Amino acid sequence: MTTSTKTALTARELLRAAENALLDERRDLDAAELTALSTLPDDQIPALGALAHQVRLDRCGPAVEVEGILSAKTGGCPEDCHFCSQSSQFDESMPATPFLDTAEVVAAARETAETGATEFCIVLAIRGPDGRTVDRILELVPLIRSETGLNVAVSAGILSEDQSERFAAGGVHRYNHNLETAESFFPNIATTHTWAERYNTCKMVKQSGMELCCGALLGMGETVHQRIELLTQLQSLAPTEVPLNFLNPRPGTPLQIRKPIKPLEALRWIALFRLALPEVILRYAGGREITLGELQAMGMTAGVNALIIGNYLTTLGRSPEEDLQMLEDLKMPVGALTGVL
Amino acid sequence: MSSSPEDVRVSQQGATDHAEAFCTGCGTAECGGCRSDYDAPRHCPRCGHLLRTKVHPAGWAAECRRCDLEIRSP
Ligand code: SF4
Ligand SMILES: [Zn+2]
Ligand SMILES: [Zn+2]
Repeated sequence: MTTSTKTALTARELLRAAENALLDERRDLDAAELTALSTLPDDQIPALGALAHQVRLDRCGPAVEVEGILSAKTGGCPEDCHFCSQSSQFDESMPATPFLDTAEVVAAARETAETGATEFCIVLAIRGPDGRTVDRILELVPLIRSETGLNVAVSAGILSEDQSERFAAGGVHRYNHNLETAESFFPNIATTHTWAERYNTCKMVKQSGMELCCGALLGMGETVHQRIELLTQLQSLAPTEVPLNFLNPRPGTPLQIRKPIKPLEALRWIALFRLALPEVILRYAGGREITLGELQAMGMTAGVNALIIGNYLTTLGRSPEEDLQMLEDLKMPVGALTGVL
Repeated sequence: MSSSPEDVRVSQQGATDHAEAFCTGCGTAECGGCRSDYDAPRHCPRCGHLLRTKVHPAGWAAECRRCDLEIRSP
């Protein structure tokens, strides 16, 4: 028997065991099982993706949730997340813009609604909101909802319990707060706040009754082991949504020297995120264009069931028409996944 | 007075055309245009200063505080 046949058999065994666990026994994979799958050779990534797609269809159905996002307050953030162009801590920091006025935010929500999206997220580059910011957001949420019919999500940093309760009561149906990376790698990425602060906000969001959207950013120098660690930490939080970002190295940030991760590597981790989090809304987020290029449709058949349409917070996306055409070609209907899962 | 979008032509696709004295990607006069398709303008095409850029789902708008220039996506 040749080495490559041996590898292929092992790969098939690993994939079969994962399929049994997820689709027959209907249990979650643990860190050891995910680690084994993460070592599959590159030529097995399409097979890994196919399994992830089966799991997504089984647990979530064929619908794809489409969302628009808006940076309503850009730049000038006092935090030092090393991947972020909106931090004020680096030499060539992006000039800050104040909170957009109401008409600008509503116009952006309308642009989102015109694409057929069901979700709109207001994002602020802040450590956490002060009282005035909470008030401002709580004015915008019902207005956007009534003007566009969109579900409104918010991303405004670290929350106190009181703020979390106020957002939940004020109609914020989903709150975004990313873990970004594993606890053990986080000190390499930010020093002005801790991973535990992020984790605690995530827990509080769920306790307040909002859906939790908790994302990851891959390609910052974390190890495979740390990516698995992050997956188990996400399993423990059980978010409704995980936006999966790939590092787009930004000029002026400490991570500007890194290279984007390779397309096949991105597909491997899309599939592993789905296999680790079978019921989650797994959203294509920042960096997919520069990371995957022509292979973006492959992510949709490897576990992804949601995407951000149009532009991102400070960078541009591909055209909404391209994404909508991709979904039509794949015969994947656009629909809200809230409350379905 | 601010210039209209027509005064300084900046394509959303990132090409630096002949109306730009400075690269909107890196802000230097020497660069032939390094801004990618997926970046909004970062530097003023007229003076190279960092722009205040607002990105929204369907486009972007940017202003240079130094030379009072406003540009936006087509
Ligand atoms: S807290 Fe958010 S906006 Fe601020 S530096 Fe970190 S990632 Fe950027
Ligand atoms: Zn340049
Ligand atoms: Zn200028």
